[in-house]
Amino acid sequence: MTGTATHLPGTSSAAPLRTPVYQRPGVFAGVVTTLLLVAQLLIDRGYLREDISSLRAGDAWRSGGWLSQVLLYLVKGLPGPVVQQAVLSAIASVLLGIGPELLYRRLRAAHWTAIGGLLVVATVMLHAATVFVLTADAGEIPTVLALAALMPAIWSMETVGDVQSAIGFGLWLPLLLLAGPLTALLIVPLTLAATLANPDARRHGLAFLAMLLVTILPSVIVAIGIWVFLVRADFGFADMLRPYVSAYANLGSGDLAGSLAALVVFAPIIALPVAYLFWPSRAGSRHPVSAVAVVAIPLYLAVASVVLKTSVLPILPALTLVAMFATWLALQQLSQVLRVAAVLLLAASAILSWTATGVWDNPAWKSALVTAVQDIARPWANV
Amino acid sequence: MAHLVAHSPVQAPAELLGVPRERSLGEAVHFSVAHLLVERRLISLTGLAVAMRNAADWGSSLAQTVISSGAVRPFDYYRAVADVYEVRFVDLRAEPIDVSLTNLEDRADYAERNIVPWRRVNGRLMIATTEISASSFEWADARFGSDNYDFVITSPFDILWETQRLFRDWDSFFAREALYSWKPEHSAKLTVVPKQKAALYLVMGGFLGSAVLAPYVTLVAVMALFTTIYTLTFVFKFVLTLVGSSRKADMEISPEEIAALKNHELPVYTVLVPMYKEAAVLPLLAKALQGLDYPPSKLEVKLVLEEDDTETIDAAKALKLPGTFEIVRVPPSQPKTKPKACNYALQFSRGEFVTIYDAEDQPEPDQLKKAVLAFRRGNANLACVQGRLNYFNRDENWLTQMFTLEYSQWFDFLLPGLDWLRVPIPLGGTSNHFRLEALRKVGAWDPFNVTEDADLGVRLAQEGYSVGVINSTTYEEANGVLPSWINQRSRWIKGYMQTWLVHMRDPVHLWRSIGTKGFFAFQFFIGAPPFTVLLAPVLWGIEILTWAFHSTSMEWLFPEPFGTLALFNLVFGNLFLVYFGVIAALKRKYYNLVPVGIMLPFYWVLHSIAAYKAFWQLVTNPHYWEKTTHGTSRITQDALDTVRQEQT
Repeated sequence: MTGTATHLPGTSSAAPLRTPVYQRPGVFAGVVTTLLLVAQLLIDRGYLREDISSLRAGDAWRSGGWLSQVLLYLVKGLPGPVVQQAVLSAIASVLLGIGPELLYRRLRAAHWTAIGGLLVVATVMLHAATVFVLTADAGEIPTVLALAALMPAIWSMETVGDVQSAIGFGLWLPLLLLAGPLTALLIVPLTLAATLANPDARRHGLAFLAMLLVTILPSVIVAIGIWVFLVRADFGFADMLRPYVSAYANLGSGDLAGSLAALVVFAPIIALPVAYLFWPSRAGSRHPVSAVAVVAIPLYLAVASVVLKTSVLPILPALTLVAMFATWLALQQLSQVLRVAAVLLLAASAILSWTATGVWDNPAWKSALVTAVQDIARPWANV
Repeated sequence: MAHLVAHSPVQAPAELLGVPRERSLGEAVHFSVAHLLVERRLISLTGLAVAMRNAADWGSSLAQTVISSGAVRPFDYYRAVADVYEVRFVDLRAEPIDVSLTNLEDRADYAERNIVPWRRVNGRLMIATTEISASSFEWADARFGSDNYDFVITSPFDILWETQRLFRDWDSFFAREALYSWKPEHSAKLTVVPKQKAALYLVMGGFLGSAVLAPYVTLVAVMALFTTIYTLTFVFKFVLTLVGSSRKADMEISPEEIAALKNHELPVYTVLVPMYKEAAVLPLLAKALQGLDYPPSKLEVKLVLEEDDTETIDAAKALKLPGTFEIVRVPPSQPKTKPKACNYALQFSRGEFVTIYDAEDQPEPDQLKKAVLAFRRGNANLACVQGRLNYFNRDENWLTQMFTLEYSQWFDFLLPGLDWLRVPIPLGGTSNHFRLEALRKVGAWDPFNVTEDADLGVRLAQEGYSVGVINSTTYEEANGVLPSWINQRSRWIKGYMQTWLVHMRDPVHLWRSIGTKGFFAFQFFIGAPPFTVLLAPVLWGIEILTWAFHSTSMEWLFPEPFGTLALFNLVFGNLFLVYFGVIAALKRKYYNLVPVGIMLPFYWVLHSIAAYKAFWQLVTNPHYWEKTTHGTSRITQDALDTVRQEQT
């Protein structure tokens, strides 16, 4: 046990974190309740979620985001848009409610104070992009979760390097395939990187082949599974490939500068992992690969979302960066100064995400949300 | 306490010489023996110096040290002991024990204390022992009164030989029937007890009745049940592989910890090597065991051989092995199984710990020390630590490659996973190290179970003991001959069936004794695998017919959600099981086995063939032990040639 607890996001003794979620009202319950309340308010005010619009227009099947599609397929069977909206919001709230709970626990285990941990969770959850995917368009949630889950996998490969790390990394890769064509492309460089992370693979051809196979095999299995299930649902192999062909065969040159600007403005936290790489630290305590991943993958999304023909939200790179950054904070032992900087930058990201409207905005959604909040506040104001 | 035993050394005939009690105390006897051995040129001064240094280092007596290292023959040493005590030395094989003087209740003492009533000479009782100590007097006084006996000296090997002969029938009966007599519900002597028979008839009757009345619903329900079992088995293996692949799941014992061990603090260790018709590989085994990093004076290797296997007995004798090795002859009786042989030998074991090796085993030299450290590190309930098994001839052919992948997954991932989850571990056939006391308390091995090791793991858990897995490997010869492989595998599967049937006689008791987690682990690790390999060909056939060939004729069998679940099993379940098999090669860096591992489904077909043979044997000949032939590997043959050249 080290040090005394402070009220700043610094080091403190790790709290015993073994109490199961259901035994105490935790972050999970709070977040889910809040999100459900907000989503319900939007529904009450007649706001139609963008994913439901897409589902009704029949576009949802063309994205190649297989996880979203399975979910939408199930939701499609429900009666009417109101119920469909409510169910989608509930699923999104529960899914994203687990994230903050895990994040908070990991932060506490990494010797963050309770207040520090709660501040990180709060700033992540109050980011406009987070609220938007929860209440308006859940289609990007698999991408965000897949990439946030990447951090522990990379971290484990970098710091532990045992067989479990290799398995974990290999099992994580299919999530990128399931999330959509944009992230599926990442499988190739990440497989190569994971293969070459093994010292034997760098020296011997056979070891390289073995590690390559072990890393890629889960993705291949999942791809076969998708194909078999599509065949069963009377879709052909061509249907499976269509989203990928559509995304990769029609390269364009969209507003790259705008996309990058959205990333930096909505998530200025990008500066911190870069600073970490150059921040003085004890020998052996710096783990650069995961820090580079926090920066590089959202950058890739920002570039690829305009170069490839996809229909992802412009705020997806920023949201991914926020999620990956928060996960990275829970893994990496940062100095007190960097922790304070991290919380401040997260707060700045959240504020900018609501105020900087030049790079991305959704007035209809914001208007519905503001009205809903005002409606709630009115009785309280009268009191 | 009397100061002198009745007779004076001067006046009495040699066989009646008494020993003054005060002379029995202290180490002076050993120094006198050493002096005598040098005088008789049975050991050189240098040899004696080395032996005395080793005796001090190992914390053993001079006798144990010189005999175990082969410096002096037991016969010569104990003749010298007799001369020092000025009592008679007896060769018990030439002058056997009078059986009327022995007592069955003292049978354990005879083996453990090396003391046994020999004969009456001129009406006076003579007690044969290896050393006349204060405890010898105490033991004899308590039984025969203080002035009613004299001692003669013999060697421990004579006592072992004679007690084996005297109690042959009892020991053999005990080896066979002890567990059944003590806890019949834990013995596989009866494959299915009446209660189970009734349940079986009830289920079969219910199935047939419902199949006649509602065939569609019945078949759908059965397939739904099978599909669910398959899915849960897959999920359990997935969890085990993931958990077991972590470094945290390994009980790591470092070289530094081993180096810090003091030899004189090490306990006596018994190594049982049950063998049958293994004369060919005996030299290799002897070499491997002599290479163990453990003080020979504290090692007790028992070659457990069937009485009728004269070929192996003669081969063992011809090797002229040092005093660490003993031959235990198992009387012929049914069932003729390895666990019965081990139970028999256990009665002559004196170690604090005991382990088992197979004839072709090549344990890593520090395995015994790692086991001792693991026991010291573990709590009092730790009754067994399992060494990992792997193969030295993995690249010999496709079958050995598949077998190696399977063993690597089993011992490097699944068993550590079970250990981590704190659920019963089905032990591997060899390299399991036990606290002897705990092993005896649970009734040792079930001689009627053909996977006695797996069964013992469950029984240990039921009795409140735990099992660990250590990071030490024993290399074995992978069975690369298909008919022999099928035989061996059919025995293993039959044994798992037996084990499941035995412990499911009272499922509520099982659940209470090993907990909910342990109960489900037992079902999915021991019960489900034989069932799934039996069922696999049926399901493969149906699913391939249905999905791969776009046939709709069988689709009615899988209504939703079981259709999706069945497809999930076929694609994700099976392919991920291949993946788990393939990654098993990583921990040991067997990179060449990774690409070959893609062919594991063909290996599973062999499992199914063996499973049907096992099932047939379970019904017709449940206790039959399918003997595995060792020594067929080219690598084993080459190693044997090398050993022979070294010997010549």
